[in-house]
Amino acid sequence: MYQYDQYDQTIVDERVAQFRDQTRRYLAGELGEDEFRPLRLQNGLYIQRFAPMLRVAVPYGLLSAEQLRKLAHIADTYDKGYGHFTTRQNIQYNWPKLETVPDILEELSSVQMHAIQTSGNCIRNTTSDHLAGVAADELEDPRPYCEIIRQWSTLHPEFAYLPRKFKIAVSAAPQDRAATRVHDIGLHLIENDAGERGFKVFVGGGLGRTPVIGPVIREFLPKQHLLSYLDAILRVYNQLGRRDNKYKARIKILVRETGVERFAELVEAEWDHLRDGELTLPDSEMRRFEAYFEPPAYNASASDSADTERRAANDPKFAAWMTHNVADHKVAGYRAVFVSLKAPGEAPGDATGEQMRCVADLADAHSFGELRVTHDQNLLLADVPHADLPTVFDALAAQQLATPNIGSISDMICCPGLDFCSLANAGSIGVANELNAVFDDLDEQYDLGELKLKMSGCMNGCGHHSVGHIGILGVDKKGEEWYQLTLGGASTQDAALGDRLGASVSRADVAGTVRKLVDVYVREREGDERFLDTYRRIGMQPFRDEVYA
Amino acid sequence: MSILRADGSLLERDCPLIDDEAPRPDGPHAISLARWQAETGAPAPHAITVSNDVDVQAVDMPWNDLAEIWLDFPSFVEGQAYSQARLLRSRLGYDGMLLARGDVMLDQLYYMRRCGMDAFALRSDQSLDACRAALSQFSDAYVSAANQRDGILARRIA
Repeated sequence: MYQYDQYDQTIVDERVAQFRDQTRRYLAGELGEDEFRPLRLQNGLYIQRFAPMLRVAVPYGLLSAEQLRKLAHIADTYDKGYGHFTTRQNIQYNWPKLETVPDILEELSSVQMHAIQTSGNCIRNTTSDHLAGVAADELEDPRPYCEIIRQWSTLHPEFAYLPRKFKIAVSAAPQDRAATRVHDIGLHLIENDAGERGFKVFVGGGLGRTPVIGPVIREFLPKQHLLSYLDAILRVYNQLGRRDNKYKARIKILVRETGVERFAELVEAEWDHLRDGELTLPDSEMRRFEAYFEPPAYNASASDSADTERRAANDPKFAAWMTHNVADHKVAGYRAVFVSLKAPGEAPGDATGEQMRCVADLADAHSFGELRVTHDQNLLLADVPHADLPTVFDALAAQQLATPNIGSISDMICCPGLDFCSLANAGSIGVANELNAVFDDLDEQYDLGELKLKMSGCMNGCGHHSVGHIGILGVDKKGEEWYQLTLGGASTQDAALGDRLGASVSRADVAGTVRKLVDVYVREREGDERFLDTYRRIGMQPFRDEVYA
Repeated sequence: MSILRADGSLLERDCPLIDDEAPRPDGPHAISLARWQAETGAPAPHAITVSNDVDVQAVDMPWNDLAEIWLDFPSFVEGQAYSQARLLRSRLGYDGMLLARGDVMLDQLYYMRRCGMDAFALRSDQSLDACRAALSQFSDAYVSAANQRDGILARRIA
């Protein structure tokens, strides 16, 4: 993984010192609330319902075991013993004290981490494919590009006060596991007919109250021009994006109001001035970044283990975990292991300090000392020898981290909701628990197959409800919590926004309504169709008839 | 109101902003960009004000006739002038003074300086010494900028 050089470390250290002074001035009354807000946000600090919330950047979701231990230490020392992994591959702490945040940032800096630009109207953490480097279908590892974008965007002087937040995602595989089409910029690494590598550039996707699937503005951008092209997009946005209404300030609105073609022309005109300038990435520099992401020292003679197969044959729990939480790997004898943070009764994405230490130890012992955060709010040990799977399973199971539900209805995405968030209209964690109670039979979950259930406590959409196969959105009706359901959303390469089922349902009826939707699917499905496929084939009416009959 | 320069000194000069309707005085003064454009043939003023919604690339005027260009921050969260400054410096070749005015505070000076602004009409409640220190808050940066020819990204390549 990437290792800081003296430049990176200096910038992060100086940023900690800067924020320590800003916090001191705020607490001393020298800096007003409105003036401190953007400064603290650009260091990941929100003021939430009960306490500040600190969001720490996990660049493109990649962590070392040492970094995860530090995150555990922070959870235990500065918070209530747990952290919340997010859909943008970061981690949030819900209970830090404002005065201690500079100390937390200093702890992070000691392991080459930070909270820079994890919030605020600036360029946020770049996200990517959690299977980067191990997926058989990828063209090349996207993470070197993500790291280059991280450095370019960090403290970029021109783009720190944008109209609104700005999110970039990179994918290098035909199977889009990074939800790139719902980002402000989505980058797909592709190869053109001449065999050159570059990016297909999507701009203006996004979730929130105006969900949009991002359109293409450039079919092929030679990869050495990545940064100059990003500079051009951001400059057009910084100058023309709306600032009169925060709900119309995202780049998706600018693209829509300008027209995709015209917007692309503006970017191209700006890029004409910038291309071949100093942001051009020579091959030698690309190779330098790529070298940080070289494959680990796999055992060339590794193969699947007969002992592991025997355990699977004799232990149904292990077999179920193997089937659902273990993914193929491009190297023979290895697997990628999902660490489920979706145990029934637990808030999706939460992990305790003890659980984090367990995963860090497993990473050290069985996965070359690294792990990833997935955008579905789970963790991933990407390089586990097949022979080690029983040991890894036993250790994870002892920490309630082996619920065999990856991709199933109980592997739901869920925001913190009204329980923590000052924006939320409705609870989501409680509803998640009720859904888990209705779908508590794992065999039924397996029978239902891949079913992406995503839930947000308000229309800001942190739980990605718009792109859930089943989406649930909390709304406020005269002080009561109600829920709007959508069907047919997807964030993958066939990205689509969900369609509204109909009138919203009360809190008490959410789980029962989802039950009815699932019943229609089971009745109507053909062959091994997923819920999404059945919905796309039969349409909304049968689902409406069942729910509103 | 103090005007801090990038070198830490204070800018002492009298340069009133003249209303579009008012007659122009003899001494140094500032007028709006629109008036400068409209009064063809008149001598160039010492300074002009440019509002933050102006596309500076679309303005076909001899920028270097001006000793100062004033860029506007109606609120510090409105960041359009950062792009205007970069364009004036890097593309339009302006080498006079770029002055930031409006909601200009300590915590934004570093970015303003990097984008090419080199004079800062500070909001009245700002501490001069703290603002001086803030101009060099970071010892290095990834991208090159008006006040640093080679950022880290470029230097690593060299």
